Amino acid sequence: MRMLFVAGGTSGVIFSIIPLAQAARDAGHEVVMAGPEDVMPVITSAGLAGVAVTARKMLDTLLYDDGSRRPIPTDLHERYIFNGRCFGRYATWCLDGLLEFAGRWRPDMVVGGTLVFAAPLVARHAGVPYVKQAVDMGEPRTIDLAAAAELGPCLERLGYHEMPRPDLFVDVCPPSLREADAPPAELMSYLPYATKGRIERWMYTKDDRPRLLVSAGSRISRDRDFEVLSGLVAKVAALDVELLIAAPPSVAEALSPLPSNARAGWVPLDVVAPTCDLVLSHAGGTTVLGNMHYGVPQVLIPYLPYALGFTRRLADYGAAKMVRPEDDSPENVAEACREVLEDPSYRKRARDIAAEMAGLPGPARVLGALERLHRAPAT
Amino acid sequence: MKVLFVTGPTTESWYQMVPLCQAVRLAGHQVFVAGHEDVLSAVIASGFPAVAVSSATLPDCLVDRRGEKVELPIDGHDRDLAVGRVIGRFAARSLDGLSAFVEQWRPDRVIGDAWAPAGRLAAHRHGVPHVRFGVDIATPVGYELAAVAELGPELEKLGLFELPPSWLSLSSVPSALRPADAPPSLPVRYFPFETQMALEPWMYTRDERPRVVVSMHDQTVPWALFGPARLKELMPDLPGLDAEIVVAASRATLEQVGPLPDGVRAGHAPLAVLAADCDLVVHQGYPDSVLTCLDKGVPQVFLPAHPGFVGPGEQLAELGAARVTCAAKAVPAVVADLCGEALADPGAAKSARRLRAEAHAMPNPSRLVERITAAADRAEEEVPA
Repeated sequence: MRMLFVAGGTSGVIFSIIPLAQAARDAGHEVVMAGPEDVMPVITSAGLAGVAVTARKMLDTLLYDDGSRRPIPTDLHERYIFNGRCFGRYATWCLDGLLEFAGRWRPDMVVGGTLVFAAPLVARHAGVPYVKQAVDMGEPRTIDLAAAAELGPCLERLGYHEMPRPDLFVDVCPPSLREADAPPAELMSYLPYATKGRIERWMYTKDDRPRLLVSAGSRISRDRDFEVLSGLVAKVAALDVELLIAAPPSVAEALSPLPSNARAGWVPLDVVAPTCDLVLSHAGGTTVLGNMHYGVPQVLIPYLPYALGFTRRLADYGAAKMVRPEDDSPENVAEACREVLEDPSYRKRARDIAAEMAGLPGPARVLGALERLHRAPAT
Repeated sequence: MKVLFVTGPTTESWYQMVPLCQAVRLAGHQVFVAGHEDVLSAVIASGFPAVAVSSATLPDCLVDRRGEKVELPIDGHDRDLAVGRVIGRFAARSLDGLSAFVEQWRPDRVIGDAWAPAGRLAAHRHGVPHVRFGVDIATPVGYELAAVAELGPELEKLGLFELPPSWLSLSSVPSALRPADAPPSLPVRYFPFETQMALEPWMYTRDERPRVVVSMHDQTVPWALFGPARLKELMPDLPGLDAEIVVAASRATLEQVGPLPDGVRAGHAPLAVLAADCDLVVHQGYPDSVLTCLDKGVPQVFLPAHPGFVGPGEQLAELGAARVTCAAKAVPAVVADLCGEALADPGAAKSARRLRAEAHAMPNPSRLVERITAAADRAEEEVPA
């Protein structure tokens, strides 16, 4: 069948849906992944056909039309509404290009990541099934609801009185960490994917000190979230560990001078994570899932409010320790890292959850559910 | 059967449900009406047992959950979202009271106004089939979506990811005005219902001139930009039309606007009585005014009280049954010209009569009672207790 995958606006959320898209292509389906222009290299470097549907960037949703910054609310509820409206706004930017492409290419099915709200609309408009795939372990529902509200004028134009519901939900959250009220889903094993490069010896070997990886996500730049990363590095600088800092080259340069036990640069998670004893991060969705996949215990500071829910669940499970953003003093963070390194229960629980994830069906098997949906008579 | 009606946040949202409510009761069912305290006197005055579930009023909900006053944008999409969130806050504040009452009284059906998402949540929570009732005029889908987004924390507490679907939906919007984004619904005819008083002869008799009724609606929605005072400012040229000019408004509104131009008769009269025998109604676009005019087959001039009321006016203008102008920009001469034009246009009266025939062909509320009270097998599947 012809499967239209709809990508979100940033690399992390695209990484999450690449395995299913690749599995579909490898099973002989025609696969196209549509997304904004600026992520085309992420899509095409995964060996997938890419179609650009907008020249605007996800981060531009944070700006007014005149280029000034929209104020970001601090109150949690208002923040969720704000975030949701940004995702909704982004969907409105992608929608016309998507509808036009779908009109010409005539997909048999549309697959979209969570928070990609143009996907259900284009599926409904094309009259084909919509499959939603989780890109992480779930976001607060107010974000989805506010995105729908932001899309009100689009729904009105298309004549829909509500957001079309998915015909199938593929979740990557292991059962032990799913919320009690999580919607029914086809569960799929999460496979970390990241852009590739030449790997070096230090990446897959380690010395006899504990290895601590510090990450603030793949989207970090000199202008964006730099303080988050430099702050994390400073907080753990005094620990007796081998310190790896995931950072694009320009960011790595800006972090110098580094402590003698530290190395900053491009860190391919799939190569390095298996050698790590601990990951300290901002609790970004794909960073957390990737490290869970490799059974690495984590110390998480959920700076982004959407991450609070799954961070708490992973901490309750025992595979991570959460430090609340308001408690993120160097002493507290270093102490949390020490505790996780010294208490073997964290490593055990991290391996338990990794085993659980590995036991879930992989993309190639889950694809079967999508194929059945395609064959099922339309309701 | 025990049937609970849930009112929306305004008095007219209750009035538009009254005919259905009466039909259900007249079929022998026990009916209670739940609403916020403000609307209860209207419920009681219409002859129904009333239960207060919240003391919050719609204007109270212009303050957000942090306690900060919300500034409503003047126009556009941001405004629709802000208005929807006001409705959502109102629902959030009545949810506990409503839910407790549903648990106590155990109704077999909850019939709720489309702007009362709390009714849908409370019904879902206690496994009672919910019937949505809407007039579906001037309510863009964005309002409801924003109301639901505002209700995110409440949905989370209930373990829901969206507003649960209603078991049944009823809508009073005539097909000519039905928005593409209105939910699929069974049609039910709209009957004007309003505060009654002893009628006086001027209300139902007229002289030989054309009769123009100006309906000054109480400012029931806090997001209205133009109240009755603005309508008064736009009236001075109407007496020059060689028509009888009659103003209908509540006593409070009449007092508030003060003396009207010479040659204008004003009083507290039901719009439906005046509209039944007149040539034109000038109003502010409130859905109850629009639907009353449609029911009586009379052409309309819209001076919309806020941007959300413009759309239906434009739809009716396209069908030939109305004229619309902007209440902010209009001047008295323009309003008088529009009225003169509408009075002189035989097509307007013809179009209004055609729309009336269409509205009258919709099923009466009594015809829906059986459907509403029929075994709710479907509901039991969809609405787990």
